[in-house]
Amino acid sequence: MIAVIYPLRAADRDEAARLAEDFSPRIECGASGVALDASGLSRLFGSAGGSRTAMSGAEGLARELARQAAARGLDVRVCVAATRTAAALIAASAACGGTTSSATALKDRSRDRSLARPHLDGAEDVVPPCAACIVIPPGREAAALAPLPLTALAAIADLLGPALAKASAGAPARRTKGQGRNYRLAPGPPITKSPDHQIAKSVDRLERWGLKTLADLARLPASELSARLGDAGLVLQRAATGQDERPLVPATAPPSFLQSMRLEWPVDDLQPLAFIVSGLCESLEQALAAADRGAISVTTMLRLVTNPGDDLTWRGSLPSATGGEARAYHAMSSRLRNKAAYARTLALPAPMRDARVLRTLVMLDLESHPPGAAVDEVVIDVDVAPGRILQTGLFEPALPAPETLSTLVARLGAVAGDPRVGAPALLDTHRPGAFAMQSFAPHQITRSPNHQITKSMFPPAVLRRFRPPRAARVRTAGPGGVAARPVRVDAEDIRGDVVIAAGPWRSAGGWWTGRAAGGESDGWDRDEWDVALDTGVTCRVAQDRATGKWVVDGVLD
Amino acid sequence: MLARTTLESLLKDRKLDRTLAVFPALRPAGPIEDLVIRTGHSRADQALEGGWPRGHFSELSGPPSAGRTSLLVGTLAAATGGGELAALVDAADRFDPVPAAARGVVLERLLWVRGHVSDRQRVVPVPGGSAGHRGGDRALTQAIRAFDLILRAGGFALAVLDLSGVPARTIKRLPFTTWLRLGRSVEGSRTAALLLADTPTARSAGGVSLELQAAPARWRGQSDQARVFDGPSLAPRLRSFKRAGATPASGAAGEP
Repeated sequence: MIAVIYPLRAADRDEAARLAEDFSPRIECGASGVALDASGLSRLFGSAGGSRTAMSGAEGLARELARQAAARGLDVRVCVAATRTAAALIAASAACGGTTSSATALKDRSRDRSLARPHLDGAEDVVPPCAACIVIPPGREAAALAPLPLTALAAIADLLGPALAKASAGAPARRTKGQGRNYRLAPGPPITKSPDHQIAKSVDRLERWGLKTLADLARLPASELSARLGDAGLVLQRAATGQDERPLVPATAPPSFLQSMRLEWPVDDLQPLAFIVSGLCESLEQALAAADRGAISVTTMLRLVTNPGDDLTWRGSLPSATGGEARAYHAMSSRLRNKAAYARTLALPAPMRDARVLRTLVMLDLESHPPGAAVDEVVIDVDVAPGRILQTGLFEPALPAPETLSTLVARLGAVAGDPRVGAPALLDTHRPGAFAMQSFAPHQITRSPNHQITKSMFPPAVLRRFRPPRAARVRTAGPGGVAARPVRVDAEDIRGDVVIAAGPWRSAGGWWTGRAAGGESDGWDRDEWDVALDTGVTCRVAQDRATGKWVVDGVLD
Repeated sequence: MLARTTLESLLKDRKLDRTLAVFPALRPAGPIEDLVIRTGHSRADQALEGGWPRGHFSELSGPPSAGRTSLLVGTLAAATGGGELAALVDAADRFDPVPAAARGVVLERLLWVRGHVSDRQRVVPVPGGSAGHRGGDRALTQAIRAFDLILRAGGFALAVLDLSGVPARTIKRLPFTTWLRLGRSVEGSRTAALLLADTPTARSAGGVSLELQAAPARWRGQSDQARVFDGPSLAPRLRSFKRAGATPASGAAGEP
């Protein structure tokens, strides 16, 4: 049993959908109205007479839908039928009023039973419980649709569209004759015609044949109709008898993975906050497991308790906020009122949904970046991704689970500081000591298992590098310039006479970037020496050619 | 039966059950990489009987320029090149990724924790106090805590705590139980824990203690312009060898 609510005003469509959701979880919205699966609802809505048959239940349902729609100020037409096509056609026809204002007409027809015969057996069963609602008894769909004009099919173009497209795609290629031979035309580019256009074209052709109503179309022999109009003709004929081309596809609301909790008393310590976060994460874990999803990023938003005179401050990155952060903000924004919000977003290396892991990550992040005030509302939102499918090789060493690594990296970040934990990455530069830190994600290495590590033929010496390099006083000997050789090095903890020296090696680069105003230059230009001191230490010293200053880069070890 | 259950329970409580599991004689014969991680230097591997033992807390000490970092880079290359993960807690932030990558270290498999410990003998005075606050203590404690977290998380083939350059005074202020605790954390696992320091520090809390002695560096070329630093002359000396079921081997000096 399908009920269709057809709003007369397009602006009422969303409200009509909400009305349908109050009656059934399975609804589908479209241009042909809001359809709801009313199977089983007839037991809940009996007729006023007390007879709880299926028919009376359908009448009660239609009446209740119409009543609640009127209560909400909606101008709708409601039709309950066994098929969605029949219900949508009747409701739309009743709404547009062109077909003698269907509700009234059907009511009149039901009174004037002579109208229903000779071909419309059962039309007398069409029940208009009220002016805005119609009920078609099961099995009487064709009879109810019979008097509708062919143009009524345009109202269900959204229902017939996929079937018409499929029928057009399956049409045989046309042949043409030429010089005594038949040639098959090569398939041309697909021409996408709108369902409205296809229906209008077919209806025009049918009307030129002298057909007026859907009953006329239903009466045609299917084989003859198919020979002339193809499968599209059969689609229209099935619609004229109220048959559905496709089942109702319920619209599923996007699952929300947002959890929030408001506190009666503000929390000013992270330890009690951990209990709240733990509960929210457990709820999130259940929601993620039900949807077979994993969190790929976690946004934690805290509403801070500030003085009433304080301005509303935002400590997150709202101007560019997207996804979870924006959702969490909007979930809280209506209740901010002179309060500040504090947001943190964690990007996870792999989809995960373990509540303990999520809680640990959130709390470690809050420990590293504590909010500046007490908290009276917590919102956690996650962006989700499909669950992780991991196929490991038989001969590859097993790696720790991403959850374990994420927790470890978060803990290490809390101990040493976020930017100081990760995997080193080389930069495309010859600048001495240049490197970058990237997130430690060994599961995302795309290197093949048999990849051979390419070692350099002449690897550079292993250096224990001072960061920053230590300033040094270096005494040189020789004629000067390049030939000036270091003979004595004096720096903090490193001093001695030079026993062996190798160099200089000139290194320069970045000069094209210029010197920033008031800042350090991005370029470098220097001479490097590897020197062995009499103390047994071998180190690398370098002289800036622009300033003449010496530094110790590090110890060769 | 009851006695056996009680004995097993006691062993488990004292974390001695896993120690038996890694006893070499009780393990099925397999490749040497299942038991040790090679250093990449033949003399050092020979002295260590294959490499750094897994499931033990070993120590590598030596003065600056003795080759500790070269040995460390070789070990990192062996671990990460085999597809396993390695972690380096670099207390003084001295690690240079460029030569490491050139020597075969897969940087994507290396978790690098850069510490804040200063190797300068600096004492930060406390305002209004005379005792003073030792600036490196807190940073050193953080480094050891990070190393402890890595050992407890597991999954790493090699975990290194590099305290080279950290003043011995600062390290000696740590309770000795620190090293025992770290050694217990790694027992029975497939992780080879390694401590780098200027002087023998942990007194071998269960693994191998290897000391590199000062030796002249190797150079190639005659003139200054043609001369190239060819690496340190590794002179390993085995101080202690507490790996279960193994016998100490004599140290070898002077790797060509």
